[in-house]
Amino acid sequence: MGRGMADGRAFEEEAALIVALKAGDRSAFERAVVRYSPKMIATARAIAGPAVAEDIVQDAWLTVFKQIERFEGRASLATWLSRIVANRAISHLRAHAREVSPSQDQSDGADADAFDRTGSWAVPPTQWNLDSPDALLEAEGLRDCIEQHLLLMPDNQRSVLVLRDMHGAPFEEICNDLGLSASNVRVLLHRARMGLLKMIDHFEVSGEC
Amino acid sequence: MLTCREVTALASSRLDGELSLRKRLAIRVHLMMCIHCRRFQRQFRLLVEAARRHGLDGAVVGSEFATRVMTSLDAARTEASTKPTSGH
Repeated sequence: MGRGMADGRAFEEEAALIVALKAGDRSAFERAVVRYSPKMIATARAIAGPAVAEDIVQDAWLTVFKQIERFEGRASLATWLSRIVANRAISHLRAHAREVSPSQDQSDGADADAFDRTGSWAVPPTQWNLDSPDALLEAEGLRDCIEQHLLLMPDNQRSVLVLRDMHGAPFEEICNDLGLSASNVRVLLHRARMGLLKMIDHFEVSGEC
Repeated sequence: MLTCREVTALASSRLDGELSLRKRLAIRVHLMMCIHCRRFQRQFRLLVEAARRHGLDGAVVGSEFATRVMTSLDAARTEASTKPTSGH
């Protein structure tokens, strides 16, 4: 119940903020920039890399300033902002010839030698000491490894992973944003998750990225 | 009977709720008998949940960034207000 009330208050606060933004209230923009930029920069960084993340978000705020009147409130403000940033970050990748192209590799992302010829585990998964999402994220050094791993991932895998798992975007929207087929998006997502799993597994065993 | 490799390859579809009842049951039967696949599925779920929580965290942003954005918004505002209205 307490949470419900808190959610209700947050909803009202956001509704009031949107009204003020639509009215062009400068202090409302200032509040919104401080409040939402951290997540927007994280999105831009994950998709397009740290070097250009702040520039992308700065441009995104200009778009917000010009288009806030068109915001209809079908998604939350945070989701709308994230999508503007994701689209800009993807455009940036395209413009810099880091083409978000369909994956040619349709394999399932598993190590070739993880399974034997009958399809049973040849190298079974190791037991992890980190047994909760929070433990994973709080493990000394692992968060940095995840960030590093994301940056080294192929652009199309990273974009799909960020949009789907980190921002909960629907598959249909990801297909539209990236111009990829539904099956390709699913293949890329699975490969990205498998890659991340392998990296964490390696970290568990060796303590290194 | 699904192999470990097949069950592993279906991990994402399973997590994203995209499998038929028949496939889900086949996976369940396999998991009942296979400790390695149970461990894999648990780790896979853990990882996706961690990615989701990681995504909820924002980057650390210095106050100078907000200042920079506000300066550019002020410039856009000035530009918009000094633009001659259409028809003049």
